[in-house]
Amino acid sequence: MKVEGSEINLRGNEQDLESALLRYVCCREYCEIIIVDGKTNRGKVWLPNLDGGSAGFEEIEDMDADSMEYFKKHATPNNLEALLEKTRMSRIREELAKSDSYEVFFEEKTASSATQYYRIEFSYIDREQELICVSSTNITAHVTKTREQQELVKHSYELGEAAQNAKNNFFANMSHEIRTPLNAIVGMAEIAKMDVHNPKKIMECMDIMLSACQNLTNVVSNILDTSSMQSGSVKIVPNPTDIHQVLEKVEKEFVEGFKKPNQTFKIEKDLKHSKFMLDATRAIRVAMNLLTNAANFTAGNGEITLRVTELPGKTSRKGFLKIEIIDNGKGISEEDIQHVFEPFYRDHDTAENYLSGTGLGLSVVKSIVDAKGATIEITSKPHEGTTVTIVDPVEYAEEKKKVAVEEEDQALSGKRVLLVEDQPINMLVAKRMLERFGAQVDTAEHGRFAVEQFMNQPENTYALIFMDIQMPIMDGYEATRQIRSSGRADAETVKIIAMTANVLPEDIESAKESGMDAHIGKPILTDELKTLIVSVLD
Amino acid sequence: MSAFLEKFAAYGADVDGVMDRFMEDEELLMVCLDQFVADDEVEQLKEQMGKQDYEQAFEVAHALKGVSGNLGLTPLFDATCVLVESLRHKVYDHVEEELSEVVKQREEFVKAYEQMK
Repeated sequence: MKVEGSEINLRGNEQDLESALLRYVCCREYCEIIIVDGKTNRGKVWLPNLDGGSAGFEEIEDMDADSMEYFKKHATPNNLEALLEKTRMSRIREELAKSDSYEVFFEEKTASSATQYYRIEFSYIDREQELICVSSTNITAHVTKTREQQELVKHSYELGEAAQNAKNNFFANMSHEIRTPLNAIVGMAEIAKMDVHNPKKIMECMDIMLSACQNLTNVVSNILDTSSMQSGSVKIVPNPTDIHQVLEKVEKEFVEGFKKPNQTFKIEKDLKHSKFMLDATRAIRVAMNLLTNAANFTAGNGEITLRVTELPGKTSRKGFLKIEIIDNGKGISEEDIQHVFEPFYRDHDTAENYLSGTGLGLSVVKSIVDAKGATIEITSKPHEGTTVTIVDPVEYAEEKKKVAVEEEDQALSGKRVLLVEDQPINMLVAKRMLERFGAQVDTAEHGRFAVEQFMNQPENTYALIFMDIQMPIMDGYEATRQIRSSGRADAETVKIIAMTANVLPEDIESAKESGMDAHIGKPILTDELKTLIVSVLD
Repeated sequence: MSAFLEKFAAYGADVDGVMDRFMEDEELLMVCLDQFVADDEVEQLKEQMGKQDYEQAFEVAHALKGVSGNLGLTPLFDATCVLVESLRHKVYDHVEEELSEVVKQREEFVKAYEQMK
C-alpha cells in the first residue's frame, strides 16, 4: 500500500489497497470493513456490490462525522453517547497505543424491532503509518446459535440421542468456520484473475489462498475425525516414524498458518530415539489442534512452547513420549476445564466474544488420545497460561523396522520374476534390488523378448513382471497386451508392474489400460518398491 | 561417507537415493558410472536433434532421463526432464537451448567424475 506524506494514497492502486485489506482480514468474518488513515481521519469502506455491481471502495471524508451519522441512525439510543465517545478516532488511537486491537460492542434496532448485536474491531494494519482497519461483525446469530447448540447437544447426550443431534448441530456450527477461509480463497482468486499478468501479485494471492486452504483443511480434518469418532471408528495405524520430521512438519504448518505474527514459538526436544511406531497423521492432528488453541487464546506477543520428552519404559523396546504444549495466554477457568473435551463446547469467554473455532478440536484430540491408550491432562491458571500434557506409550521403531524388512524380503523369496528393461544400467540396478528381496530374476531387453520368455515358461512361473515402457522393437504397453491376450491360464493373473520414467497421470492411466496392475516411477526408491511389491502380491 | 561419495554429493548428486538403489554398493555404482560415461547417449541425442528427428530424439532423451535419475545425477536429470517434456509435447521452440543445457550438464558431470575417481 502506498503512503504519501501524511495521507494514505486512497486514490492510488485500488488492487493494492484491496489486496492488503483482504490479506489482513482473510481469517476473519465480517459484515463491513473500513480502512482509515489515522493521521487524517479519512477512510475508505469496502463494498462488495457498488452501483455497477462490482466490488470496490467508497470514500469517507471524516470518520468521526461518518460514525456519528451512522450510529445516530442505527444504534439503540440508550448508550449512544458512550458509543460515540468510544468510537471517536482520538479514543481509538489512545486504545491502540496500549494494545494490538480495540473492540466496541453495540446494539442495533432493526425494522422488525429485533435487536442485533455487533462487535467492531479496530486494529492497526500498519502502526507506523497509522493505517487502521475497522471491521464490524454481527454476533447475534452466532452467540445465540452457539448457546442453543451447546444446550441441545448436552440434552441429546442425556437422552442417548447424541449421534443424530450432534450431526445436525455440527453442520450448522461448521458453516461459519468453512465460509471464512472460503471467503478469503474466493476474494484472492478474484483479485488474481483481475491481475493475471502481474506474477508478483498472483504469488501474493496464492500465498493467502494457501494459508486459507490450510485453515480449511484443519476444519475439514476435524469434521472427518469427528465423524469417525461418532461412528466409533477412530483407528490408529502406527508406522515407523521419524519424530524429528513430524515436529518439523508441525512447526511449518503452525508457523505458516496459525501462529500470530508476534507470538514466540519454540520446540524443545529431549529424545534418545528418533524413530517410533506412530500414526504420523493423527500425531500431527493432535499437535496442530492443541497449538491452534494455544495461539487463539494467547496474546499477540505471547509465548507458546511445544516440549517433547522421551521417558524410559519397563522394557528396552518401549517407552513414553511426554508432549507438553505450554502457553502464557488467558488460561481456562476450572468450570470450563471440566467441559473442554465435549464436542462443540466453547468456553464462555470464547462464545461471548465470538472468537473463532469449531469447538471440535479438543474432542478430536481426546478421541485420538483415548484410542492410542495415552493420557491427557490440562492445567491452567486464568491470566497466567495453560499447559496441556499428553503421555503416550510408544514402541521404538528400529527393531520393528528390521522385522518389517525381513518380512518384505520374504515376500519375494523363492519367487521368480521377469524384468524387462532395455537400458543396461537400469537393468543392473533393478536386478540387484529385486535380488535383494529374494527374487530369482530373469531378464528381457525389449517387449518381444518378454512375450517370448513368458510364453516359453510353464504356466505360473512368474510371480511378477516388471515392465519398462519405452523400448525398441516392442514397447511395454504392447508386450503387456500380448501377454494378457495370450490365452494361457496365467495370462490374466500374472502381476505386471510398469517401471518407467513416464510418471504423468496419463502415463499411469495408459499402463492400466494396457493391462498392467501397478506403476512405479524411475528413479526407483527401495522402500517404495518394497511397499508396491507387498501390496501387489497381497 | 567415503571421499568419493563426498565429491559425488558436492557435484550435486542424490547420494542418499543412489546408495539406496545400489544397496550401499559403491563399487557397483562406479562400474555403472563408468559405463554411463562410455555409452554417451548424449551424442546420440545430439545426432537425432541435428537431423530434427524429434521422435527418435525423444526416445533417447527419455532413456537418458531414466538412467541419469537412477544414477542420481540430479543436475543432468533435471536438464533432461525439461527437454523430454518439450519433445513429448512436440513444442520445439526452445529445444536447442534445452539440448545445450543437457550437453553442458553431461560435460560437467564427466569432468567432475574424472576428479572424483
